[in-house]
Amino acid sequence: MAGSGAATVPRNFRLLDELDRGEKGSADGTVSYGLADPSDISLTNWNGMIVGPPGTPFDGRLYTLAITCGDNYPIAPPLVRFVSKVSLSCVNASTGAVEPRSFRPLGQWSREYTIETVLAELRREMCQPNNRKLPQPAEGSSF
Amino acid sequence: MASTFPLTINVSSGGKSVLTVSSSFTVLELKSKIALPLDKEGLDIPLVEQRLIYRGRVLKDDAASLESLGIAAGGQTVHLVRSRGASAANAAATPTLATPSPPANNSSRTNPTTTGGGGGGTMPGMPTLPFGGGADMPDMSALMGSLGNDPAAMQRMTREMMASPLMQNLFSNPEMMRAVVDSNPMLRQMMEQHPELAHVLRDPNVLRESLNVASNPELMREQMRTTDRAMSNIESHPEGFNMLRRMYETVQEPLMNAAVSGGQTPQPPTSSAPAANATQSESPNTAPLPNPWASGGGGTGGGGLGAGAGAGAGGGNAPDLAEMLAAMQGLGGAAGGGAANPPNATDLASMLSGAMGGGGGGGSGGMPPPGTLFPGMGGAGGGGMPTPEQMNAMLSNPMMQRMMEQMTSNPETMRTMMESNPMMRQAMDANPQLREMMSNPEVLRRAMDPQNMRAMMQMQQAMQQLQGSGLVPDVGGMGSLGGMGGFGGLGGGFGSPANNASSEPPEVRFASQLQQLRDMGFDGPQALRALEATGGNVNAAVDRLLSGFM
Repeated sequence: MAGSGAATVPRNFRLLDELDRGEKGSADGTVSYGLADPSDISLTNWNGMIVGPPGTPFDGRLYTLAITCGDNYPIAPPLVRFVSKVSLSCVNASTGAVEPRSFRPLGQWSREYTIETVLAELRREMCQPNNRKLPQPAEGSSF
Repeated sequence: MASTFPLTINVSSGGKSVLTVSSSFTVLELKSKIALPLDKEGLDIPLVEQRLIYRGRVLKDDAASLESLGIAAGGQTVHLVRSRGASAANAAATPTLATPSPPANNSSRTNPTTTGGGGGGTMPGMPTLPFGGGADMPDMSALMGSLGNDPAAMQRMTREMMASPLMQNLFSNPEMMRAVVDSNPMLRQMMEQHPELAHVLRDPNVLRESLNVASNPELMREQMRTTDRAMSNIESHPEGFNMLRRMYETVQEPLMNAAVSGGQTPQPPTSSAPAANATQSESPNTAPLPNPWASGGGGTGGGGLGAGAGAGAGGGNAPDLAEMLAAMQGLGGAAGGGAANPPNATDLASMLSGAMGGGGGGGSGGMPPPGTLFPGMGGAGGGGMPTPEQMNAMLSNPMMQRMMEQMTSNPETMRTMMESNPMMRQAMDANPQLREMMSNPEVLRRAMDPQNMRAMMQMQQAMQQLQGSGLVPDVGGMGSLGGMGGFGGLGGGFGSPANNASSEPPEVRFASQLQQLRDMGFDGPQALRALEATGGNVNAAVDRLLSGFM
């Protein structure tokens, strides 16, 4: 359908495609994701990992996230939660949930966005000046 | 069962490398391999600096094996993050050999022992299975190509693929196979009627065997020789040759045509029945064979069939297998060719109805020439009327009879076929009586009886003569012939939908297909456009919609 705009792709086709891309690896290797349970045929619960960007307090650390793609994905955004403890302005300090209100890719979700988009954008958040100043918890702790 | 495969290592500091690894490797062994110096195919990254990430989780050193983590086939990527502070300052944060890295430790999900018990390797979710083998091929073959692109490499690859736990798992899991096969309603119906066919399709050994043959030239030659011998045995039998020829004409040629070409170029018959080719000249039509599926809309069906045969073999060697099946299984050939073919619902229907179109004569209703399926019918199609001899030959063909029998004994198939033909639907809407008649399997069976068909043919011919001489102005008005005309339309409708195209808007024409797409979750004008572009072929439309997304 080249030239006629993107077709409306149903949830499962879309998630299968994302799963495939996740296993083959994203281009730069700074984020990784896959099904939390490989036998989950509903493609609902995902693991995400962000490699902390160099030159920031997050440098060299690995951040684990739990991502839930509901029935309405990709019309509705996924639920994203940090498992590794992190201090970011868009992350709820007690639960680790990424707040859609303060994280634009979730708050102003577009169906063009993918799990990879979310992870890459969160990684960009880590490079923002306001987040760079935040004191970070010890590596390895979790919410 | 260990197998080796290429694994891409994506290093966070930049660079990608492909290592050949074994599915029995533990994570620690993989890391040791990565730690090897460059000239020993390693990446020269010290073991303690390596942190491996796959599917969004850290791989722990004590994980049982790559296989248990779901890393068991080519095309997958493991991310490697070098922990820079390893040497001095950041020592506390560095994972050591004995203690797995902290984040992994803290996530209860990443405990490898929970997945390690499977032994057979964890599967990446059932829905991905059908794509599994195929999707990995390009990478593999690219790799092989760089090694020298020789047939031996190809065979080795097939063997390795077969040995991979993924394939093993697929084959050793009848449930999975059944799920794949059963998800096609058409296929399911067919299997219900032909238990022996179902057995073939569901038997993992058959598939394994086919792939084994493909990966082993010796076996392949052996197979071919056996087939050839069997063929010549049949040929030397009186009447046997004729039977072979008929089988070839009915099944093989259209099948090969569809499988080999996208629908554009007529294919010369292939080697397995050269004799049949030689005797073709007795048929009145020596012109190239029109592809039965080509008229639908840009050769959508042909690709489908080729793909289908391939799917039967787990993504490998299409035409040969189909050929072998067709040659060896008699009716199974007709059904099997279609049956090995997941996206075949409409294709098979059009094949059958193409034949019916021929049967109906395609004449009385003023229908467009039926999409021709049989060589002999080719010329007749153009003229509008098959000769009685051709008709007889076709009708007395046991294969044809069984095909029709099978079709008519299944009211569901008939109904689907008729419902999906707009012309037919219109006719039935206008005439409830006809609908009743058509949905009665008994009536249909009787109508399809070769004897009756033949009589019908003769009547039609007589009618045409009368019409030609101006005695009877309107043939279509005749009661019983109206029914047959409907059949003609059925064939014609499938054979050349383009002719009906302008009469109804696409929403109406493709209503049932559109509904199918909706059920899958596709919607909007794109779905309709895709259907229009593919002539109503749902599978091709889905392909189109999905490729637009990429």
